[in-house]
Amino acid sequence: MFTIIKNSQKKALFAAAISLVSAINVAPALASDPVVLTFSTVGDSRQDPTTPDETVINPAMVGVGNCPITTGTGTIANPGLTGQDCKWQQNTTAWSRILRTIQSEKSNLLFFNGDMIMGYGLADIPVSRASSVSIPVATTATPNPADTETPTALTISTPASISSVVTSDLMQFYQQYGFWRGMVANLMETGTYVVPVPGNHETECKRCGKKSQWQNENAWRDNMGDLVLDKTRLNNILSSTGLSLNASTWSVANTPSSTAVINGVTNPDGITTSQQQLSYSFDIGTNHFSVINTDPAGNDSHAPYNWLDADLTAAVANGATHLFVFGHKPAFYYYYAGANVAGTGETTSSSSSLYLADNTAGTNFWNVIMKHNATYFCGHEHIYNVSQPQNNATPTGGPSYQVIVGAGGSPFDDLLSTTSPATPESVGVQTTEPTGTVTALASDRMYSWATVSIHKSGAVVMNTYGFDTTLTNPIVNLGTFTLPTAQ
Amino acid sequence: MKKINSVFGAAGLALLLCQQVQADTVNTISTGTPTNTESLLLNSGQWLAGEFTLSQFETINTLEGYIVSNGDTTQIGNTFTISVYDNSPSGAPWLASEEYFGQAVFNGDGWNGLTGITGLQLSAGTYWVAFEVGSNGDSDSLQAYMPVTTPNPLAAYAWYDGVSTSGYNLVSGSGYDVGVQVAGTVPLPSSLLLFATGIFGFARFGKRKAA
Repeated sequence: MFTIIKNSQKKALFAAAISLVSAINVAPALASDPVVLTFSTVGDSRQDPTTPDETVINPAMVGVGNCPITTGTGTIANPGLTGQDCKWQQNTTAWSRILRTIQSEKSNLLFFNGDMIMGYGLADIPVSRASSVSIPVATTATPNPADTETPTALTISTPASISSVVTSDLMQFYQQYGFWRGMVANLMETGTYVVPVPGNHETECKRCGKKSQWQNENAWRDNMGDLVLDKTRLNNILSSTGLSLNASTWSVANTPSSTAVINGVTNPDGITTSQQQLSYSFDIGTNHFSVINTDPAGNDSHAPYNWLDADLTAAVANGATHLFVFGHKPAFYYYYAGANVAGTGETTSSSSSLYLADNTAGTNFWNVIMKHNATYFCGHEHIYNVSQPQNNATPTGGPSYQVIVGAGGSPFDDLLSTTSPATPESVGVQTTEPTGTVTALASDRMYSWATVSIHKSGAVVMNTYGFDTTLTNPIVNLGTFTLPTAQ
Repeated sequence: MKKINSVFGAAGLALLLCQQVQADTVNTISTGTPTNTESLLLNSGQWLAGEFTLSQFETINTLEGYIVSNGDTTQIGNTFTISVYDNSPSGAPWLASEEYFGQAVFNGDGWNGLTGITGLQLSAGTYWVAFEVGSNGDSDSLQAYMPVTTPNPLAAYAWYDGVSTSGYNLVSGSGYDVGVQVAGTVPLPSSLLLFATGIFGFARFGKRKAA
């Protein structure tokens, strides 16, 4: 009945048993689809002392000191911000909580979709001058080789006083950039590479007619240029993923240019200044990331969609399977409840979306996104919305997502109430101005962001998150979406 | 020797009887399964807790939460921690007064947690069961979610970022009611009486036989 088993046979049986147990335990892991790369994206964390985010107002701070505003040398009485946010103009409370959570999610990259600083002035020598003298341009270095807006003469000024320097727009731009860079510095040290995307508050000057300025583009490069791209830091951060920057496709010179000829047309994107480190693209594995400046000097509220089309086409030809595009202004405006209603929200203007600025160009831009099955992440509207527009008139059913995550701490566009509903309702989609009664969504007044997980199989899942204006309620998962594959 | 055997035998029988009686007195606090797909983030940056109250001494053997991964199957096998805290004077989970913690494994969407717990005995009072990632020095790595809106929500909920010194924040408003199950056994007076009677009776029986 019993068979004598030799020691060697026992060992063999034991090994077989161990193998069987291991196989049973490992099988589920092999069957799963591991995440190979993750990134988060959000925009618009800047505070605004003239119309501050009401949720962080402290009555005890109203009138305590003055906050600088970028009017050349201006200030405004503190509307109730902390001394810190009054001076450096961040919504530190909301933005730092978003940062902490992205850190805990262990995202490999964070794309920040513009308006990290209040800016909106002219990053130039102080307006207030004791004296000035004009020097012919021939005797000076051109600030930027591609600039066509370079003044005919360079004005050398003597500041009127130290305070005129301290309160200058130039100083405010640089100190606001410095504060924001300090806030995100910890991410770079803990495994998340920060990728900056320019917004209109970095490039435009409000008192100059809300037009982008070459001086501001230079200030961007001076304060963000090291991130675009620091190959060593990026690859160090990516080392845990087994992926790295594709060195053969990365070039800082790959940017929209006034000398570019695309489909036989010279400068089809109307570029007037160097867009180096403002619009760029790079590849990690088979994932292609394109960053576009939607407010280039000389052509505000226009995406360089001809360059983007060529860039995405080349990326697919090089084997990219996922295309992610990041810009500041949305292609199509999200008309939340209260939009365009006096006293309840933002009034739309030609600068509210690429479509509203230029119907044809905005539509052409979106057609490029859809043509390649790309996903477009943006901000500008201080709100959350995910849609799949086919065009401005048809806000649903398209192959590509427009993901507005512009509620990173800037004053909410939706002013309907001072407190958020406790739970989010279903996410609505409206890219054309609605008529009649529109129900406000809880997510319209949530600080929010998106985190995208790219799986080994090629599946791409986006989760969106938010927390409400109490700042003390938990973080809510606003939605889960499957993003398309490139074509 | 016979006397000793009789006493031990009686004690064992009484204990067994008592165990069976205890098994019939399971006390479970359950919110029921969440009804919404809306959910709260659960990772190292956000821990979630629910308040429960015991009306008498109880031995807790099960602590579970309803957790999902939103289709991310790579989360299966990742760990999280379940802690039980006393109620602080401010009415929030009291980090400085922890009754219990144990590491649990996420096995897939549904109820996940710890069963067969031993040594967790709580007297009557208010406590918090907390679902945490990376607490108590555990190298947890779960990235998951806890859906909300349960049929029988607990009296209170709270969250914590796992870092700040302010500890857990009470959640205001409704809609943060995640799924929680706490189960244990209650030593009924009748079973205690039976146990005592058994011991006494068999001891007497043993004494007479010895005499």
